[in-house]
Amino acid sequence: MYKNYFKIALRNLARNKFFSTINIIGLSIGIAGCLLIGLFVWDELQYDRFHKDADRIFRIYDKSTNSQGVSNVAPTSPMFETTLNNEFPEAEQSLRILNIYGENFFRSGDKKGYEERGIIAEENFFDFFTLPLIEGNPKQALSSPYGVVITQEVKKKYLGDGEALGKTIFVGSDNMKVTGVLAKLPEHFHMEFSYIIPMLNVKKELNEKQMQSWNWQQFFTYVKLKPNTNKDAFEKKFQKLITARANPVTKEGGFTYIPFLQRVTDIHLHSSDFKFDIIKAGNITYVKALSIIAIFVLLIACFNFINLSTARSLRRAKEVGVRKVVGAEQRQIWAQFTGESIFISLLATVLASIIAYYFLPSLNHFTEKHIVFNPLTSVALFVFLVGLGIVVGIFAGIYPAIFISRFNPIYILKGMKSRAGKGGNNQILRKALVVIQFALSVFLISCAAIVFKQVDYMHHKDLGFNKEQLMFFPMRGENMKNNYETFKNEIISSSGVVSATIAYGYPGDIVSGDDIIVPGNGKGTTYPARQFMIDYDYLKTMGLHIIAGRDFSKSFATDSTSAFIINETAVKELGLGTPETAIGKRLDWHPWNTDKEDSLKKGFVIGVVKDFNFSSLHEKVNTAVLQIFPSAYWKVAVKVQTANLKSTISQVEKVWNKYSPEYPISYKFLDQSFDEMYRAEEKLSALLWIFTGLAIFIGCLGLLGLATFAAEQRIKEIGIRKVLGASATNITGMLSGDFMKLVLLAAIISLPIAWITLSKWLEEFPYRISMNAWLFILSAAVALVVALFTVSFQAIRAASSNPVKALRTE
Amino acid sequence: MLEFKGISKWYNVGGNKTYILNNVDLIIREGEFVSIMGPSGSGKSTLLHIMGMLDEPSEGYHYFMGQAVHLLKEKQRSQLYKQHIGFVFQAYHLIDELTVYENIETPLIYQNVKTSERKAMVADILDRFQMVGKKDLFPTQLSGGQQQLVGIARALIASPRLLLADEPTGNLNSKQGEEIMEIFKKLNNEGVTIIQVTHSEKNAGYGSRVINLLDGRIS
Repeated sequence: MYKNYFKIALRNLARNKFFSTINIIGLSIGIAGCLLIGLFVWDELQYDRFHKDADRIFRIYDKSTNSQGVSNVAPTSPMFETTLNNEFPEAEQSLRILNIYGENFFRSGDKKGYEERGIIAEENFFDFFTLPLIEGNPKQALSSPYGVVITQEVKKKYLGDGEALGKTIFVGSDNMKVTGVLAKLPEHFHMEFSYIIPMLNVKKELNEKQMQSWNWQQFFTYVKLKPNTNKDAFEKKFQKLITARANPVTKEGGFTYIPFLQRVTDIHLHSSDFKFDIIKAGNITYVKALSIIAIFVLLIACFNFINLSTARSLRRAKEVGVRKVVGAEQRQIWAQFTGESIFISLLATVLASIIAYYFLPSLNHFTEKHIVFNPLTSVALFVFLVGLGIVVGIFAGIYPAIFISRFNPIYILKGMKSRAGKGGNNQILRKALVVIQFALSVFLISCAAIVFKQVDYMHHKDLGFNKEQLMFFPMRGENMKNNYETFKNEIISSSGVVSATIAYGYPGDIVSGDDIIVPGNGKGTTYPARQFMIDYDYLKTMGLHIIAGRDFSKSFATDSTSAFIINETAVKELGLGTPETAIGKRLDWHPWNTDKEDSLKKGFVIGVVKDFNFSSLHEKVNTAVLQIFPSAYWKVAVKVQTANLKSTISQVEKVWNKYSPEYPISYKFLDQSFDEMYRAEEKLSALLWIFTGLAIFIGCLGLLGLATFAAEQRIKEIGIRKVLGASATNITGMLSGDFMKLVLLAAIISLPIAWITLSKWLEEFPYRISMNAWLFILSAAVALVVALFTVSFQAIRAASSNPVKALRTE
Repeated sequence: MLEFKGISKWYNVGGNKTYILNNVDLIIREGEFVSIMGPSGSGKSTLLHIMGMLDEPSEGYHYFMGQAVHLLKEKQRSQLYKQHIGFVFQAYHLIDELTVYENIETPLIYQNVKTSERKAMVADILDRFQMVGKKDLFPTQLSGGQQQLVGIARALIASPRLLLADEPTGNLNSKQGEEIMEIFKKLNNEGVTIIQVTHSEKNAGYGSRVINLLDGRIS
């Protein structure tokens, strides 16, 4: 029996090549799209599952509240771990990690270079994270102050191929002994680094008092709970104790926080809005959005299948009639046709797997992943794919099969095919499915348009400073640091250099946070602020706009000792009235790097700058304080001319080598690091375009099929109309109009939903485009035009056919 | 073998009953060769369809081989006619996508006959109708007469006791038609009960009895 079904399925496919192709291609593309997204989503969900005890390892973060609102903050006070160790027996172990910000200098023999990512970790780091060491013992690797654990890449770069254990390597400012070599970090580990320094190494720099601070939030804290500990109960207990001790202290600094536990397996996807985080963050919203899009695409493809199959079912009517007459029961007919669609779906799955296989490298490249997809070597994957094919086949085939199996054989065999199907329900269903398909398409188009606009906006928004043509690098070596003034002047006088500045605190780079005090009754009021330690050329080089007062100037001796420039937000936050009234107001600040504990810099506001977005546009501009403070100077920013960039860079390098020949120069361009901030949105935008394109393509394939079918069905009507005098235009209009109404209805349904969804998405951005009704109308118009183009193609063909021929065939 | 008592079939058209069959009583015995005749629209085909259980009467009692068909459930009814009734149509109604062999085989599939048995039965009937050479052809590659032969072969494959034929020669030329009628006669002699709808007096002449229908009544 199955052989018989199989043969007839194949012969039908072969006979109706046009519809078979549309059906199979549509379904294949749908499944392939779904597979690719599915692989991406699956991969995103695999993070940190490989650690032993992953189910009881947690990271602790804070929900921090200050005058600007609530935000999630990744680093915590050092006291968290101390408290865990001393007062929480439920915690089996706890771990503190510090991030090393900026590049570190590495040297071994004549090999030298910079390593960008490093962390400082306590001894039990390897009890938390299952990272294989090629050399060294994980238990002891981080237990001596002058040991360093490096990755295999770093080892190769500086120490060559042989054994590295015990060898000396110069890191930053110390000679360190290699105590461990890490294999390449697993792709699904939430951190990325190339070396680990033991916490013991920095113990001497962390004084007792600092380590007891509730205000100082710099440590990434992890805890491993004892087996069978209730996470929620533990979290509550910990929150209660911490808030009771910390908040009275932190309140004076203008903020409070509540600690929360985060599963190690959740870190990757659920930390995208965390501040000061160092992890490789994914974004659960985007993962969910992509999953939904995948389902949309598959749905659209399935609806195509349903539509085309029911539309074409009359072609199979005679077969069904005959089968029923010779003894087939409804159930058997139903089984045959469902089986047929499962067969087609499996065929499409095979094709989809091939498509996915060939497009996976592009996806991997695009998402920087290394997903492997080969159903021929993975039994689980193979079984999954077969299962997927069957499920899709049943989903898409069950309605057409039921519809067909209900055909009344008498009508069919009498040649009254049109009465064979029960009523006109399937017309309504077909229309409903087309409406849903295009509603989804219009929705996707509007999403793609809005996301694109927002990304574009973030790239091109006026940031309040000029990020173009800014080359920037940290100073290295005592000679350079001690003679920074002459170093800078020599750079400025190089050809091609417009200006240069040396500072600590650049947009897109690390900006230090420290309190600023508005003196008043008693101690005054403390406000959190971002501190920019700058020189006299900073404003000019960065292109900041003074809106009141003046820039720092060497002609005012007091500018280096008692002057502040603040931004507009600071004027508001510190309660200084307007930019004009803020000029001359007193501000105090505890200077860094002094031995005297309560020394105070007393100064006045001399200028106000227009707000500039020094962090990404995901964050609102904070209070910013700019001041002359040479002892913190760290990085150099050089504004260069567009022309002869190469020679300008080599000029700068020449000056560098004069001051610090022992260090290589390592520079970046500021606009690059800014562009990197929007990579996630950019990728979302690109993926949206691709899958929107797919959805529309599949939808149009279906429309093409239905239009062809409609033209075929109405060939006699068209013939009669033409004989009666209808023009080809009339006929085309009539045929296309039916479909256009559906697409229009789809647009009307989906636009409000798209509007609401996208408004919500945009709310996540403090700086966003305004919702533009035209963009939505344009999205609908695109869908209409594409649909019209698809349909009219068939309509014109039908309309221009010879009516006599059409009537004669009847 | 077959008995109708007060069989009627009507449709509601605008609130009025339009009768296709009106209170038909008839008895057909095993081994008869009956021809149903009458003008177009007299209800011949409907009567045949009801006999073959493809259609249900609106009213009346229907007995087939001792069973009260009007009381049977859909499934039992289908079981009954699958086993005992074969159909032949004016338009042959072969499945275009299946070969001669596969078309003839189809009824056996729905009776769960094993593959090996099916092979033997189909080979047997192909032999009987002298169509062995054509078994791998598709219906469109055959002449009308040959197609009807396949149709008959298919109707007979499961050895039915009753053969229902709806104008079996209507689409054939007279020579082909005669051949088909000869086959029917031979089958009847072998014991198969045959009921045919026909317009042709000549064809009716092959049978043993004629039932005349007019406006849904036996006249």
